[in-house]
Amino acid sequence: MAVSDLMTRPSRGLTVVLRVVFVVGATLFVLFLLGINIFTSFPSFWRGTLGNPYSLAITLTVMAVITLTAAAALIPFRAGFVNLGGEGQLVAGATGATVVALTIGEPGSVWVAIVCVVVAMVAGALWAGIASFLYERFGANEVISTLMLNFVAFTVAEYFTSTVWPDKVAPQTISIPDATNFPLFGKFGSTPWAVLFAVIVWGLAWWLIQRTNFGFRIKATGESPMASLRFGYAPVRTRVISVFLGGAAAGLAGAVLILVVNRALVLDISQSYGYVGIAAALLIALRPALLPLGAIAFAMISVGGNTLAAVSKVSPTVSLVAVSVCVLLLLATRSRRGSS
Amino acid sequence: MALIVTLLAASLALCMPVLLAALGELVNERSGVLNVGLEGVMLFGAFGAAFTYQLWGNFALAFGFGLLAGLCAWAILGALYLWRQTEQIVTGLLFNLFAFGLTATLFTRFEGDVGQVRALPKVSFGPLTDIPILGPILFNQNIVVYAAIIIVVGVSLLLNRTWFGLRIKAAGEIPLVAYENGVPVMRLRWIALGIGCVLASLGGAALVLAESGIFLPGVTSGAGFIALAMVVLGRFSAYGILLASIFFGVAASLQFYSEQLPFASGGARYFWVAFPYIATLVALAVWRKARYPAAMGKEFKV
Repeated sequence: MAVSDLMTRPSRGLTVVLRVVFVVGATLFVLFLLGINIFTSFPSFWRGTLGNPYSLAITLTVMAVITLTAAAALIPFRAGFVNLGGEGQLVAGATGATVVALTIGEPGSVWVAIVCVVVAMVAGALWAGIASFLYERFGANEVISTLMLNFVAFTVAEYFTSTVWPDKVAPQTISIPDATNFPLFGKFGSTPWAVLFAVIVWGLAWWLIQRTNFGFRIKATGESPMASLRFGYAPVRTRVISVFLGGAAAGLAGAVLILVVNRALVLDISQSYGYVGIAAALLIALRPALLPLGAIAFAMISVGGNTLAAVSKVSPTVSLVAVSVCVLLLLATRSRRGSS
Repeated sequence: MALIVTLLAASLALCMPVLLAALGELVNERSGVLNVGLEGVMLFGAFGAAFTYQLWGNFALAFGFGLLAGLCAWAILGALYLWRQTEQIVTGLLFNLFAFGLTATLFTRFEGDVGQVRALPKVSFGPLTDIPILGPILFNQNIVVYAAIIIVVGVSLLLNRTWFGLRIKAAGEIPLVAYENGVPVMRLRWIALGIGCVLASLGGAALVLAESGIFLPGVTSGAGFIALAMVVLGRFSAYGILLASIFFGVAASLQFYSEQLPFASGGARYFWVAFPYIATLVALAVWRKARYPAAMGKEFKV
């Protein structure tokens, strides 16, 4: 994959306005075709995303999760490793966090929550590391291996939800102890912690890629592994480390989902956040400084999409259509002259 | 023994959707188009087939409309990959997300109309079915199995014995030289992508009509991704893909007999559910001599 293909230069003036108007308009039109009344539902979209504290908390949490999965795609992408396994790494992280929380069990404490986060990041990194190892050692195509590992991760999660700690009613594990949580903030619950994690990862990703020597190596490896080998940039090591960092970010997203949102390992815990993260990373053309921008856009579509879907009696999966159509059109309306 | 025969018969039937999709992917990869959106195309085909079957209860019509859905996917993917020349891997991935969202949304909307499908009947070969061992495996299958075997031969002949196949391969290896020599690279890639989408959507239709018997959101559960792997495992040849798919079929059918196998009951069952994916991963790593078409996934500019 040519990394530069995905990093479209921002076009200027009227072109960019026309492009945005076209993409947004076309996406809305697709939603309209699928049965969402786009003319009357703006108020409920507002209420469902930012308009009241409860939905604002949900939107911010989802935004944090998507920021993390977008980082999980962005960092390896910049190093030339197409990590399509954010989904599986997220599930691996969520499983790791749940296993720690339930193994230590009652009464639980803040310290357990911290251990959960660390273990989730390690689990995500290791899960990505499998694909990285297969790629570096055996030359196994990372597009296929990361996708395969997603399905393996789902099965591992299914093993824990149905055999080890099954809940009596729903397809999920029993809940983790109440005390295994970060200090709560009133109405917002533990959402601020999710946001804090996302902001830290955002800052670190930006600083690492744009301001450090190692970040330069990452970009060089992504643009031309051969040249970076000649310059002594150790492309293999650079790529491996960036894949591990990406996996850790996705794992952290899994921990956030467990500790802040679900409080148990749910069978379809990810709800495609891993793939939406990739879409968000592409929306911002792989620029780490813009991470929260892509994340807030797709968090609003995901969360607001749920509300709209409920109002218009459409399945919430309609938001996945909106996300994918939006990014596909953005890729398709890129000026071809600019890239050559 | 009886168990092994049942297992082999089941695995032959089980791998057909993957085989069909992989054959389609083979044609379009040889022409230089890497279609990661295969999973999405299969979902399109599966939904079209299930929906039509529910309306009219006719297998031929169901396959026909599954194919039609595949042609819709072809139009979308062709416009993106070939007209707008978007980056193929991420485009394919986003198309999968789109197809999942779209079919799941439509499924919820028409919940009552997309339901159970009666299993595709088996082809009767009369006395041949009674041959011990071979009979139940080879002569007691549904029509999809025989059609797929014929398509394997057809794709192999098409790629290796016709001018059309030669030009497709040229478009995938050295597009610029081919173009200079009068091969219409873009038109060939459109056709090849069309063949790919048609076969993948038939695979999706077969998945619903012959295997799962019901459409659910995400019913393909990675069959398209496995098909991508099968193309590499089969080293970009139709017969190689047939062998790779049968290998996958055996790996995948183990989970259904896990209760009867001594080493696969209880919690170990989940290992066998994940086994086809793990086996594919290991096989990809071990069997790595595949040489990809040189221009696969690359933008073509004159």
